[in-house]
Amino acid sequence: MFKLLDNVTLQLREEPTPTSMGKYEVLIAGKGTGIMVPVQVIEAAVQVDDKRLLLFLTDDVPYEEALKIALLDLNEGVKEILTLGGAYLTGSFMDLNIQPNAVEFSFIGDTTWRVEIPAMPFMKLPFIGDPRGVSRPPALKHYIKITASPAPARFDGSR
Amino acid sequence: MDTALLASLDGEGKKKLERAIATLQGDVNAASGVLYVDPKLRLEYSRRIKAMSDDLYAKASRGIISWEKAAEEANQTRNLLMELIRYRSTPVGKALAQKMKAQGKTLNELIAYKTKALYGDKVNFNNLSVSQKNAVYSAVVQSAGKSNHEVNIKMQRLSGAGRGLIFLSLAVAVYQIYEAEDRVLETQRQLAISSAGIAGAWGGGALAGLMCGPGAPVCVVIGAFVGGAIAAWEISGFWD
Repeated sequence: MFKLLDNVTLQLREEPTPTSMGKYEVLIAGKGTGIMVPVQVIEAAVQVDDKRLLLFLTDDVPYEEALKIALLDLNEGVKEILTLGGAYLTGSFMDLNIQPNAVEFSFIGDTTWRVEIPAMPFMKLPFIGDPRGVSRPPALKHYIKITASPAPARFDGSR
Repeated sequence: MDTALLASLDGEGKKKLERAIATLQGDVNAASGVLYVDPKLRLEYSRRIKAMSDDLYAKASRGIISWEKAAEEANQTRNLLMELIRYRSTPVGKALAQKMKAQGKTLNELIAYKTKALYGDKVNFNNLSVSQKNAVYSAVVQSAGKSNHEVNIKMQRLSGAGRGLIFLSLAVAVYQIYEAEDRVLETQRQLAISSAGIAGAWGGGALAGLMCGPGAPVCVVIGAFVGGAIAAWEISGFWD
């Protein structure tokens, strides 16, 4: 059952450089986990089960903010990170709604985004299957399911 | 390059092959053009917003303008610069930037966001002291100078790929000129193919953007490739 956590913080471990992202360690109740994420602000932290966390992260760039959705396994580290947004676009993380097995929120595209963690990892072809504006690194197994209802709006409001 | 295969082609077949190569060159040139223009604009964007933010920060620090005014100007100028860069992007870059409806913060929301970041959840901006309010405005000014770092890194990598494609395209053109009987004519042909490829891709991308509507990058990329290929094919045929 999903649960909102308020004791998850980040601590800078490596400064970003012109060619690489920064490294920020995830702390739970002030204790280091050894797990690094690439951006610095936690918008929300949600417990998925006794060993997994979902983090909603931004990078303090309010004029061109992208949202990173990271699934962490406390034993195995980062399982998957999705990015929502892109160049010359910005969003605001709002309307967080935590359900027993899903998280809903708004960020960009004038829609409600829904994130679920299926019981089993799943396969998907790169570049297709996710709603517009979502990107994720190609991999054999994926862990985060994301949907948007209604379909995300384009620049001119069309869907 | 082993040209024995070409020797077996008759005159007509050789011309078709040359036109096919020209088509491919047109698309490579178009891709290198996109990968050159958009990363270059991105770099310009990052520099300009940083310069704008630094300038306003310095003016407010010296008391030339108030921090509140600096925050207002930073907000307006930042949005203007973003629109300007979008406008100057290639059709592909523009389609990518328009793929989603942004959900940005108004200046007031940004002030509330920075107040929360600096002084915690329960603090109301209106209850802050003047120096605290100025610190919030100053944070807004500094935010306006930041661009998405991950996008910057990706653009740098794409720029490297663009340089690679330019090198490939130049190498093919130089080889074709070297092999030609009339090198002056072949040089003109190569220049025409390159220009046609880039212009055709730009036009094809823009046309596809009009047909598919804003924010359809896949459609625009297809339009650009088809436009670049057709233009290069046609211009190569004109030379025959």
